[in-house]
Amino acid sequence: MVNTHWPSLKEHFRQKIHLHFLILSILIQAFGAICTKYAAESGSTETFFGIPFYIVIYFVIVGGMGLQVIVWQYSLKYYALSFAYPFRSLVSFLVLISAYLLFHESITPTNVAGLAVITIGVVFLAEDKEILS
Amino acid sequence: MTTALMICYLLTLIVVIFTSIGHLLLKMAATISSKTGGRIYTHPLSILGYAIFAFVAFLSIYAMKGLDMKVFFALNSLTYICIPILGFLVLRESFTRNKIIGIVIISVGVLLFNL
Repeated sequence: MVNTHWPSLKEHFRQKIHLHFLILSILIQAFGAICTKYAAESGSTETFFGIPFYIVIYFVIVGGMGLQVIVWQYSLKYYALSFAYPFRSLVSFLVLISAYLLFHESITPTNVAGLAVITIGVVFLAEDKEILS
Repeated sequence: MTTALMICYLLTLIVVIFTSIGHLLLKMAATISSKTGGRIYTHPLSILGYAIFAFVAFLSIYAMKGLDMKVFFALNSLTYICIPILGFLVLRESFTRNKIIGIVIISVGVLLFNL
């Protein structure tokens, strides 16, 4: 059955590439959150090639934010805002996994329940035929 | 509720509103530039959006001074409702049944996740 949402195979691949940009934006957002947490936890005496570690990480965070805005706005060229923004809630998955693996934070039942509910919501969004702008 | 706490809640509400406006401006700039072929990142609306995000980051620090981080982020999940509403009202984006159900479920999920 032909999917009428994507008029051609070429178009289909084009859309997938744009979805990759949306996912990349989520990855950068999670990376920024991890860096912020590292910055919050690093001591004032730690250095990186003689430069205080917190200054280095602040530059990484600002650079990450800049990159994220570029990628995010690029994907906004192709997706409806009412689809793309709620889709970003998937960042919670990465935040939870990295909080557990990198910072040894606990995972609570409400965290898992929240993620399950978010996933159901994103499935509903993804089922929508009018996600493009 | 003390006055200081009320101010923090008010600041969080302002953060939600301005975050929504910032994303709306980025989307408007993206749409205009894709239609006209102009530059996207140096469009005046984009620059205004970036300035708003910088302002939001500044306000967030003050809001979080009086609120727990999880409360702040739970309240921030209001953006998942505000932004699609703005998309519908300002950008005339479609509001289908699936989209409404998805957005409501995601908002509940984000709230649950952050509690």
